Amino acid sequence: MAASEQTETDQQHRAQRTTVILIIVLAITAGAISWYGIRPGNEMIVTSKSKSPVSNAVRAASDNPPLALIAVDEIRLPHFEPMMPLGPHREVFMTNCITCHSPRLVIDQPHFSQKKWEEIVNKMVVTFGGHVYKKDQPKIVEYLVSIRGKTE
Amino acid sequence: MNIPGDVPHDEKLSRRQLLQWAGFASVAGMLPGGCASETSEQSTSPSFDQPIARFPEKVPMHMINDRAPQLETPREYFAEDLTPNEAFFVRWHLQPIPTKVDLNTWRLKLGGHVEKPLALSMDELRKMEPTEFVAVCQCSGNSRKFFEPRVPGGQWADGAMGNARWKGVRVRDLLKRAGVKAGAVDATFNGLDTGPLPATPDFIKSLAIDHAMQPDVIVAYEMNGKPLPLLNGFPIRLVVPGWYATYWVKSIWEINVLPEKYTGYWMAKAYHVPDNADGSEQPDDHAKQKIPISLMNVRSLWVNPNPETAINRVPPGKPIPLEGIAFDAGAGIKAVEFSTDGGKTWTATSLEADLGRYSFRRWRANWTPAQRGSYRLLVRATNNKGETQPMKSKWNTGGYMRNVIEEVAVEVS
Repeated sequence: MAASEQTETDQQHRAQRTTVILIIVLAITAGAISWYGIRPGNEMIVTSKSKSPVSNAVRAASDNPPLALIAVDEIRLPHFEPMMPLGPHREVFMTNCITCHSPRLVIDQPHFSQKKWEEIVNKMVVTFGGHVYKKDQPKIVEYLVSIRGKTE
Repeated sequence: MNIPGDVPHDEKLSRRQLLQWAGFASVAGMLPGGCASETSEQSTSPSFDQPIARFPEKVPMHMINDRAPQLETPREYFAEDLTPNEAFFVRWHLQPIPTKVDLNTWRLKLGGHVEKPLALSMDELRKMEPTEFVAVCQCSGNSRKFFEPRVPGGQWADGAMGNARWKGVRVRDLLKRAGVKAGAVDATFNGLDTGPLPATPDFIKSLAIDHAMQPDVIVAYEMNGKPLPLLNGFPIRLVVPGWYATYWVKSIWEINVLPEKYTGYWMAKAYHVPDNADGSEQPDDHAKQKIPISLMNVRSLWVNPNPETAINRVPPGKPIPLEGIAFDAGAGIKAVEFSTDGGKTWTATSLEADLGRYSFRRWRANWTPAQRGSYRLLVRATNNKGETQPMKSKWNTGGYMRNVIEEVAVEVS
């Protein structure tokens, strides 16, 4: 092999080796960052004005921690209401049944018989005070059976 | 591809027609087929679409409901002795729930059948003699989704529970300060959550006055050394160790002593179990007598291998570290044993550090499978009263008190 070709091959090998080392280092760094980031117990809560919880040292210093240190920030609850499946009288369900709870409560249920759904809807009205017209109750049951019903 | 000069369009299905048909088919596929599956027990959501959500103060958790919030402790946290606040399960009955409490104006009111009604601030509460202990908080309906036949309610897997260090003031000390009058029967505990409608019964639980006066019943203002998250009942919650979590009222602001038994809905109607040894009944033969749920039964759960993993595959001839937790109502765990032959023979596990009688207890064992094959590993706990877990699961209409011997499938290959 000619001298220039030899140098060129050497350079290529060196370049390849450097590239490989670089890739390995980057991979290790990325792995370390990922591992650290997804470890359970990592508090990743970001609030606009975080108040740190009272430390043992602070508690020892004064008898009672100042209220500001044991206060908890106001929270804003997210909504994850699911899109309800289509079915007969879906709109009757939507206008009557989501005042008190998310429709997710329904989506999460297994399949029940017509009789069971009638019992449940009745409980919502009689026990929990749901405002449902009498003529709408069977329509709500019909919808529930259509999405979560089974024959007994 | 529609290449000009290609085969005439009316002689084969054109691309446009194909696309239109495919589009129609996919939309039609999204519409549920009328009655879903009349015989199938499966929900119509695909099994991979488990709703995981990020709520304030919390890590991502499986969501039973978003309003009112119900979130499960991710199972991997059972590998830790204390369930961190940010992973602790959440369960509210009514909404709106408190999203902000100003400690400057908040007061705990004590009233009813007492000499001297009080209104205590957080400062005054923290000046009273504190008590601290570790206790398991488990929802009455934990593991309800495994009931067969299924029952309505929150479809929890095993994540409606957590173990935490609770610090607070004894209810006894509060009641003594107010001076309980003779003839007191019940003490009621009311939280800041309210019903959305006027007729919705407020979430109030009661304890018999003797129980409320026991030293282990406290109002906790700290959980694992920190103020309670709002989702877990900031500023204070009731801790009734050994009893199911329905009694652990969150965001308490009012304690009332009554000269008669409390008959509110959440005590008199809800959370009742059959009045027998194991709170069980038959699906086709419901119990005639029911009583309010109370003490937790003995229970043990798997941490490793993880029952929620699709396939647990291990090689033969190597020791597998078995691990789990066990707890009861406070008598203490005497022994935890595991079986690899369907319950014919049982092997003892070793119990780890005792964090207190109300805490769960970690158990460990090593198992070296000699043969290849499919195994069902079972675990069973026995407490110091000799109470243990049943081989066959018990059933009740509420889906409460599940404590069957838990199993995990392992493939040795």
